[in-house]
Amino acid sequence: MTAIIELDNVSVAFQREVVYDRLSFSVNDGEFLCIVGPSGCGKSTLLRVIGDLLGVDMGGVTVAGSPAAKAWQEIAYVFQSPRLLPWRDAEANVILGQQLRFGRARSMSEMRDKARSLLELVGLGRDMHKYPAMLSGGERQRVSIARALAVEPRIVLMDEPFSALDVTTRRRMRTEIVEIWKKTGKTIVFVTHEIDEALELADRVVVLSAKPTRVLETISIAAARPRNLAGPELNAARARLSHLLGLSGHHQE
Amino acid sequence: MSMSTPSISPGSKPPLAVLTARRVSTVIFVVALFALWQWYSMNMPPVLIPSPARVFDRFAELWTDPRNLAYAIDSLVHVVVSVLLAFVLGVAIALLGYYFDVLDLAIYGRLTPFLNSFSSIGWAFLAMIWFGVNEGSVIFATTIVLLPFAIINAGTGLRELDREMIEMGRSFGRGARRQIIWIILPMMFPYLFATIRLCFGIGWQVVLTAELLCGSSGLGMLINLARQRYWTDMVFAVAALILIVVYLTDRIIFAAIQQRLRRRYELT
Repeated sequence: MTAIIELDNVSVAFQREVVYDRLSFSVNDGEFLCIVGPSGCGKSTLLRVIGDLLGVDMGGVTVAGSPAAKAWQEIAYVFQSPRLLPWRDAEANVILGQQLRFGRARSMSEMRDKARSLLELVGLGRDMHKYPAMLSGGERQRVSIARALAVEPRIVLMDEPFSALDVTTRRRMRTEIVEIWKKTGKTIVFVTHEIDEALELADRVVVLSAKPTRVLETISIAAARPRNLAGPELNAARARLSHLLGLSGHHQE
Repeated sequence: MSMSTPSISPGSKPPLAVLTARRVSTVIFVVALFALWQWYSMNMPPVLIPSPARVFDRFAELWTDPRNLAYAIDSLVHVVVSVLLAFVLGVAIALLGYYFDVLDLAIYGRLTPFLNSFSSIGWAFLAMIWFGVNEGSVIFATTIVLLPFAIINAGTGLRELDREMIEMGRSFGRGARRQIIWIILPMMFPYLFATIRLCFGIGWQVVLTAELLCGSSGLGMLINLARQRYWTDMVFAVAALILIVVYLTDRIIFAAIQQRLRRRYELT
């Protein structure tokens, strides 16, 4: 597999605090990569660095063969909160991402068709004209996933997108995101603080240390999907992740 | 000024009755004012205090005489053009401050305090000296007085923008123009609307001064003519006209739009 994202000795500091100290890892094209780490280690910041929303002090970030600053069009975000404009309905919010990225290069009818097909994909075919206030937390996050997919990125960066949802919705959304990933073939970089979420979703899990952050270990998970979280391979991976994160004995969800 | 909320104790009248009582007392207050005015005018020469009936006749004349109506329309045009100019300039300057941090102190620490502190009469005189007695001078003087209100309101709107939404916008596109059109301006709508509403109210106050000193038309000029001819009833009638126009515009047009905006922006 070829690497689509490469971080090479990236260092970032805010005033005197060193966030990343020569951080290096890569993401393969088409893979589902999860990033886990202790609270406050800079997981979300890492997505900003990859998407060029935040510059680096040292080192290099390469996305699809180009420096991150020139490759932002290859990327779309799904944030922790859906960040939908309240005065736009679901369809118009999905159109917004396209308006911002393509301007007049894509016609309104194309944008609308794209929005509708993606809202169908995420299970909101009947709720296209509902406003965010009329949607549940899970539905809003689905709209933001549709908005990200609508700009046809090669890479989708997801920053704890299900953390604000209830346990049942979160489980359903995990299953759905795997299905969407399979259908679309995108590269997904998914930040989470939940070990079981990473185990259920990821091809590989990058484990970050506390600040100054570096990669502690990258764990590959070959188990077929849908995964049995109680199986021996995932139990072993869970034990390893818990050990690395200092959570031994802690049972997730 | 603070308003106390009436407390409702057991056995007291329900809120609707309280509201009715408030309305009744307001009507009584206004009627009493008119009665006082009528009584006082009977004891004073009309050139100082004209009676309500006399003012009403003049008021009717404002609407029936095409020349007077033209003055009113001219003033309305002055206000609308000045508000639009101040609005566009104010938003543009506030956006400059938003995108170029280096200008922040110059705009909010120097320009707006200077514009705020210089009186409307001062600007009207300067406009008369620079541009002469014409409509351009009136619009210049009014616009420059309204400008700091527009800058401060738009600047506050920009400072209150939801940073997460701005970041979301930036993640989808880096073009400043698209972000301004699709994210920033719609998010600022409540502030922009408040700016227009505020400027419209203040604009009427300023435009009269400007027309009085450097105007070739408008109600301010009419007041000046009335003053020279001792038509005090005309001065009262113009004041009443402006009061009615500002009140009706604010209550019927602006309040309705604000209500719609509130509903739209409260959806979160």
